[in-house]
Amino acid sequence: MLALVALLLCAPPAGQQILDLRQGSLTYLVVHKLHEVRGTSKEVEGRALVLPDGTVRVQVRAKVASFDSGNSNRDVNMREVTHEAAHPYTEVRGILSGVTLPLEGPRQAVLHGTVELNGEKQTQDVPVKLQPEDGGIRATFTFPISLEGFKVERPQLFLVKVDDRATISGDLLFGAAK
Amino acid sequence: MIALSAALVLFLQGAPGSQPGPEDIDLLPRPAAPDPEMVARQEELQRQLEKRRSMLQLHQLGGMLTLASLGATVIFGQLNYIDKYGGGGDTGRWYDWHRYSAFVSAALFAGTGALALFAPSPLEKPRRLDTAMLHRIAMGVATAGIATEIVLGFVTASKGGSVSQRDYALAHQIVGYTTFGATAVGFGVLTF
Repeated sequence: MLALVALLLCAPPAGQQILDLRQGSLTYLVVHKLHEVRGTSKEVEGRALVLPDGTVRVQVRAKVASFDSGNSNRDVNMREVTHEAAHPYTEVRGILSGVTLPLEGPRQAVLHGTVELNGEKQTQDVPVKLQPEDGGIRATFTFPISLEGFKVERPQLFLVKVDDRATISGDLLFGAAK
Repeated sequence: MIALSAALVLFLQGAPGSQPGPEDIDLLPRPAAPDPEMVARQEELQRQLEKRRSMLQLHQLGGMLTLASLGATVIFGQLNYIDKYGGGGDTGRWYDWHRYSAFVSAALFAGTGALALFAPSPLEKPRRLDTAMLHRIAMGVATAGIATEIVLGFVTASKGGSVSQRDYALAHQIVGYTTFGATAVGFGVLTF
């Protein structure tokens, strides 16, 4: 009985569709005078709700601890400056407009959303490239952020801080929720 | 899960009241709110991480000074070697420069290493061959080199007038260059 209720409640109303993230990655890029650092997480969670009017609500997040830059010390530093203990997730959520399924081909859209990092939220317009793939939608995006805008104390190496501007990129494959 | 689904369905079907913004909608389950005990653990963890970062920043500063002083020690050592065995007249002109720069280097090396060794490490780190591991390996070689150099330096100095002194000096020179090279690798590997 409980399962039936759950099933009924979980089913989206007619015309609406829930897409779950099948696989994907989020990457940050920070620039230091001596080198660039890329940290990637493949442990990404995401869900999109496609409404009949072409509006898509999206939520994507990853655990800060899951980002790997290829240097374990650097990853620990990143977790410290983003106060990962208190704010374990980084997240992007927002709304895309004018998206009808199934996608007929690649298209560009803009996600009007909110980025959360270090417990701070910033509104952000994120250009997103959408393309049909494997019966779902592949979404790729890149956008800049200001580390100090998110109150992140910029890490330093050899007494030189990383640039304030960091770049976030994502490659996400969504498919119909099972 | 049921509550979450119910909330989502109610929202989709148009709950009364104002239209929520995108930041108000949870499509994914909310992470559990931390209990007071967990909050205390988080605060302690953050304190440990901040202490760690302060110590490792000093470690970086110490690393730069150590590399510079080791470079100077190698140069003075080479000049001393040339003076003594390379036709420089054995004036002893560079002996004290080499000696005191070596003492400074050894002290800086020990202090810098201690900062890294005693920095808190409250988060588990995967053991793998990355640049941090290469740094540790290179600095392990350098540490062995420094220890050998201190012993060889005193032994070489004590062999004054003996034929074998030149052999000890050569060994001291080779280990010195190796130590400086390992330190430079340990320093440089962190820039990649």
